[in-house]
Amino acid sequence: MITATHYIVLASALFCIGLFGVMTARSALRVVVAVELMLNAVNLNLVTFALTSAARPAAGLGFVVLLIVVAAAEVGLALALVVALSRTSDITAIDGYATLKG
Amino acid sequence: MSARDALFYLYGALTLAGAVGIVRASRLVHAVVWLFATMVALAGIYLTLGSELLAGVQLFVYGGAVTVLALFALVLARPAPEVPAHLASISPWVAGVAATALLGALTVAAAGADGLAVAAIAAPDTAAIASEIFGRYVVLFEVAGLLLTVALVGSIVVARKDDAS
Repeated sequence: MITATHYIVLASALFCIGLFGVMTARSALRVVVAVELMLNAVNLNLVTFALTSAARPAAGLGFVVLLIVVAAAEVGLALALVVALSRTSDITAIDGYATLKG
Repeated sequence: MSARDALFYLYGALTLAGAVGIVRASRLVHAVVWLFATMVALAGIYLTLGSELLAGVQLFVYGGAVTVLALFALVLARPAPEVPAHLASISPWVAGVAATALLGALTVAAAGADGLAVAAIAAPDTAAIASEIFGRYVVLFEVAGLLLTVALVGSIVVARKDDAS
């Protein structure tokens, strides 16, 4: 019998794999993709709790849709940054981006 | 084991396999393809929860838009030579131990909670979700639209070729 715990454990595993990816990735694009994994894990968590223990599940699912909108805005900006960084510098490893031009 | 349980394990295994593929793929384009597989499998997970709307949104936004955007970024960004693994600032072993420890702690915490059977849930239909978004939380919806517009303009400004310099 599948319970909410199964979904929470799945979301936790997804989050931890994403965390591992963020810590070990050496290219900026892979960092962005791993962050997307972590965001999706959080989404799955929110959906599970909205369906199992929220007073108004429909509101919880509505929040999830809005969260996906915010995540889409984030990934658009992040990928624009990846393109801009690759264009303006010769640094290839993500650790090299240690300075900001203000 | 019901059909829903079997589907949960199938999509769950696919999701985790895709996530591992993203992290471990040797080439970036393979990582993006794994991202697509992961997002499609996650849409299946939402289906096992009985939420067709979220499954569709997941498929369109993540499976479609975000994956294609990542592919475009991969094409537009200059190809960078791979950095040897030993030059990474955090060793994969340290990162693996840290992520595994966090997973263990989260699993123990989740196992302590009383498990609510998912089969008993009646997921709200699309009309109920829509009446929440466009009713009580319509201001939130408007702000989200504004945020998308600002992010779109900001992305263009950031990624634009600077002709002046």
